[in-house]
Amino acid sequence: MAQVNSTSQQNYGIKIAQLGYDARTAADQNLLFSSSWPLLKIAYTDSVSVPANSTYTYAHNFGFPPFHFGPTDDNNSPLTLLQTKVDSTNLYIINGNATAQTARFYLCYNPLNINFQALDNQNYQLYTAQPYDKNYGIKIVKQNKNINSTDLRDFTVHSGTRSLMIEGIVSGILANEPILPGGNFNTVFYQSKLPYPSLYFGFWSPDGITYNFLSGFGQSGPKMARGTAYTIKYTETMWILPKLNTPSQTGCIYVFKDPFIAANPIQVSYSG
Amino acid sequence: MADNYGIKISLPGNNTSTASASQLSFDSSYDTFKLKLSNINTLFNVVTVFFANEPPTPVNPTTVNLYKIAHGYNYQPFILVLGIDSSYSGFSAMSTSAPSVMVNGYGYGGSYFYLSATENTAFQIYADATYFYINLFTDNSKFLTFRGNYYTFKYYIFSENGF
Repeated sequence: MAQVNSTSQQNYGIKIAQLGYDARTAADQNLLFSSSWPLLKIAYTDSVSVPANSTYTYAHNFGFPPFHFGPTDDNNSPLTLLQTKVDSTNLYIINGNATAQTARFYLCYNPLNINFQALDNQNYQLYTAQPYDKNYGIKIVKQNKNINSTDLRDFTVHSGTRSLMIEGIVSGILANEPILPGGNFNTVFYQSKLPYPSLYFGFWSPDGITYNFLSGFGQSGPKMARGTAYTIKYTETMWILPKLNTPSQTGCIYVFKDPFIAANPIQVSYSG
Repeated sequence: MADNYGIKISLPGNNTSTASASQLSFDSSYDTFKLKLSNINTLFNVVTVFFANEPPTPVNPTTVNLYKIAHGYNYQPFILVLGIDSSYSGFSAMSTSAPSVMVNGYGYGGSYFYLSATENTAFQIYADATYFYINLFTDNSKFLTFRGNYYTFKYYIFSENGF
């Protein structure tokens, strides 16, 4: 797979610091934006009604299989309930239900078949509510929208917000062999150096052409898995386990630098 | 959106005028998923649910609300939820090897984090135009045993449209 490196990124690109920090010296967790970590680029979104036992198709024509969000189910039975998949030309939402289903999808201009690794650091990212100064930072408004709008949907980027930042992308061929916990994980594999359970998404392709979004919980594969022995600090492993007896499989894992560690986690005690 | 509008930032060694999708760190021609910082403790957090008691015997189907918070938008926002496995801050949670991500309320088996497919017991997590919910759901005649268990979820409520 192609690889995009970013080893010299610290002194390249742009950074926007939080209010009160100097962008030249601020640690990563105090930056609102850093071009060292690419963002998901939303190219198209829509909410569509998919008729019963039908497939909705949207032609994106990107020329590569793109990152996407859509309704997903266990990939063992792609025609059960709802399943989203893409290839280099189209996005598909398959509705295996006996009734029409409405679903929103997001299609991002980020390829699934090119690897990337951001510069790792191990800063914790405790996060609390930040004061917002409308005269600080940057805003880029969408065409035909007002720069003074208070609706965040009117902006492509807004320094009163944070976006998901891509820490790593790894894709490749999946081994077609029995995979069991504790066994031979000869699969697409990513080891995170982030100091918290990071947000990640997995995609599985039976043929290297069409990619299925993975819920992460397939019973007998393909599925996403995290390391059973990972620790909260620094090391977390993630795999895509192949579907057995399916040749030419490919997987892709996207790992995000965000989330932050929540500054005030919530504990709920259910007492009935 | 027009190609000649806004800003582009390429990764090192690439020309912004010719860079491919993977060579651009940022391109304002495209929208981004945005977490509003001034309300970050509501819109992004980790919720751990501890069951001090068993849920009531369900009447099919039964939904028990465990957590609910007003998100501050007047529309259904886009949400992501990560079911955290193994341990997080000392808590044990969903399963040891197979966590799930939920996008906009869709996870394994549809709009649920299933704990047991055979028992049809699941966490149902979604947002409407006012609130974000974490519910326990079953369409079976009994719940699993919950007393003494912890379940941890990390959630994100973005400003983008959910439905």
